Amino acid sequence: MGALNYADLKVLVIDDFDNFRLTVSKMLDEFGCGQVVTAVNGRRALKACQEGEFDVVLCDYNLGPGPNGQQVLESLRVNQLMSRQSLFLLVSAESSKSIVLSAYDYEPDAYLTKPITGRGLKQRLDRLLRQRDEMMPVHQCLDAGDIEGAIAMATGCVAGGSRYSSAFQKLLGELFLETGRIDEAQALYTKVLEVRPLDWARVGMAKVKSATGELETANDWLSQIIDSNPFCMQAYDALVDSTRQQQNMERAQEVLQAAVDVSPMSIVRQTSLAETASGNHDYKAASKAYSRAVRLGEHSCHDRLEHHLQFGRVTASMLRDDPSANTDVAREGLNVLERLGKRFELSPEVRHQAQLLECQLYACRGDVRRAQDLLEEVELNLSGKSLSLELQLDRVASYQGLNDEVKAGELLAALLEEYKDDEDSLRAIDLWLEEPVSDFNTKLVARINNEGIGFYQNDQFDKALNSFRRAVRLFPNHLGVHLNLVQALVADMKEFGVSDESMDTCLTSLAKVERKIKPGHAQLDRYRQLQHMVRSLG
Amino acid sequence: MKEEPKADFSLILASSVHDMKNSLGMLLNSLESVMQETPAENEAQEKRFATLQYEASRINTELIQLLSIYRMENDRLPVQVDEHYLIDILEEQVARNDMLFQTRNLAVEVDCDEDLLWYFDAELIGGVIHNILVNGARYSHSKMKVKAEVLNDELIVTVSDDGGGYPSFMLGSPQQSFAKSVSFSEGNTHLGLYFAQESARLHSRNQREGRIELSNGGDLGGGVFTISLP
Repeated sequence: MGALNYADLKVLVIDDFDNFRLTVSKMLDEFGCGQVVTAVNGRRALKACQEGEFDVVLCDYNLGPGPNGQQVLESLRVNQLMSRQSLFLLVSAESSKSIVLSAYDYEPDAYLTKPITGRGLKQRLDRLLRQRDEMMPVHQCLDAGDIEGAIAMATGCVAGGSRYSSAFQKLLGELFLETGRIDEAQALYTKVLEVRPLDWARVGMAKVKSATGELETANDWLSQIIDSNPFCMQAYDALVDSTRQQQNMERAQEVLQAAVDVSPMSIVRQTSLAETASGNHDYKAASKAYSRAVRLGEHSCHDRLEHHLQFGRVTASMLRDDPSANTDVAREGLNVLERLGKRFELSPEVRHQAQLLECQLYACRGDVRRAQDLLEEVELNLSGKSLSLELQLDRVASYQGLNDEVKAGELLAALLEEYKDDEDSLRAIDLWLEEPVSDFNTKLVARINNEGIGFYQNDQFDKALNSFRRAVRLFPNHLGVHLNLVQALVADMKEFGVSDESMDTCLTSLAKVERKIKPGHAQLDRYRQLQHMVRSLG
Repeated sequence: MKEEPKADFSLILASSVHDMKNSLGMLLNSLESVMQETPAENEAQEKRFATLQYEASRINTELIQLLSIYRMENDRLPVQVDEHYLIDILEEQVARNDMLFQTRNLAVEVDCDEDLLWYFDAELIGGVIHNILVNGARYSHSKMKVKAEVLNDELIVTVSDDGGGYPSFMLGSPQQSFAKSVSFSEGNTHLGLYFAQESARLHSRNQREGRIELSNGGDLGGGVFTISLP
């Protein structure tokens, strides 16, 4: 082991406590560090890093107002203010399992627990710097984009029995997977697993299976890893990827939900959950996840304007679907939208969108007057302009929120005409229609419906209910699927007894149909009949 | 009238322990600053500082163990086994308690092959070693030794001292859990040993479980703590 050259090191110490900065700086001076810089909070730290790169960053987790230690790390990595050769050490007074902290999106090179002693810090730095020095050539290759060179060098280090073989193997596995060298990845993970069933190698092996198309096997293995170690975040992430590959978005949402429960501070997973839930039309889950993402975004470089708008949008959707829900969250949505201009540079289009969303949320809260005023104001500003589909659909939603079905219907009819040859746009419009018009969705609703009817006719009510519930979620305005769901529930309750939950679902669906159905509708008789059956059951 | 549901006491305890631990962390930090800013002027002051620091860090360790045990019992403390160099883990624990050993004039030796590798949860096992060191510092005269080796495909870590040794009723490999030997009247809950035993048990391989053992004698003639991990 060669001597470490502390004189060449440039170190940054970040803490809001003067004492800590002073004590640690003194220690670092005593180790002979060439340059020690201190910062009192996250913002100053980031500024210091923009002015010049550090070899070692020692950062407290709790930094008072502004970004915390994890968010500083996130920002440094995302904005590439730190190369692979730099070390980030996260310090905390919290000496329980570092797991709590590691459930973020970015992992530091080490966790240190306060109080820090000089000898403890030196021992840790020695260790980390030795590993860094040995891995330096490989990391330099990667920084230069030379993956082949990095793989060759890392393979050499493992074969040569490097002290850090385990770290080289982890890196190699990732590089093999990244470059599609599946056989080599498999060989590497197999070799590691022969010695011990280590989580990182188990996850790697599952990714190998996923890459070779054996998605079910990959899912099984990943679920097993999560069962034995619920804090293995890589396993959740890999499982989300493979369920997405299977187009099983409901399962992807479940996995993301579980991941977020374990790592509530991870904005990346929170956003991913919000997007998946909103794609699944599960607006309740989406609203909750966007609300958290917006809050976590306050000091995060992953904050996006779109999350704030989506929070308002899905919250309004949730409240329109379920008028009995608590409308406090609408107030929260309004607050977020009102602050939008302070946080982001807004284009005129976005400003109008935000106003339309505010209008919807006021309508949900029963403040019809305010909602109407807002809508009139926006409409005045919009007249004669060409508008994006997204904005147009926000208008549709606003009219629906104010129960102006006629105007909403006119807008939709115009949109269908405008986008009649654009399948992707039609799929977006479908959500607002009673029956879908896009090729994709027409086939999808027919398939799910037929599947459900098949189960129903074979008295497999459980499976039939699954199909119809999914259809209702995907096509919330489709009266036929609502009535199918009610019919299946009635049959199920006649067979197995009445339950409150099933009864509630029936009543919600019937109420939805009641609001939409018009005299002369083909399903009107069936609706009346089912309504009667449900009443007689209750 | 509807009866209010009773809150789960262990949950209340766990969250209040969490709170206490944070306060104590601040206290330990401030104490260290005080010791640096106004160094002890005489031996009596030095001793008082040492007592303050020792007792505070003992409470801290116990609180952490309480929380860990709570999590173990609620299946929320997964074992994160990975490959580690023993020398790194052991030296880290010794370095962490450097101040304590200095104030007590203890020489602590680490006897371990530089290249010795094993598979375990570094945080759990590091915590066990830390706790044994902190406790041992109380009973040792002048020396402690931490030793690690692999025998019969098992990692054996021993912490020995030159103190008076463990009382005879504690010796051997406990058949019963230490939790049952809690003695409030003697002020000894053996929490640390219970934590060590449970942490060892969480490390299992090929139907073999980790275990701990207490004995007297060893290289230094005092107490010997042994933890074996398959």
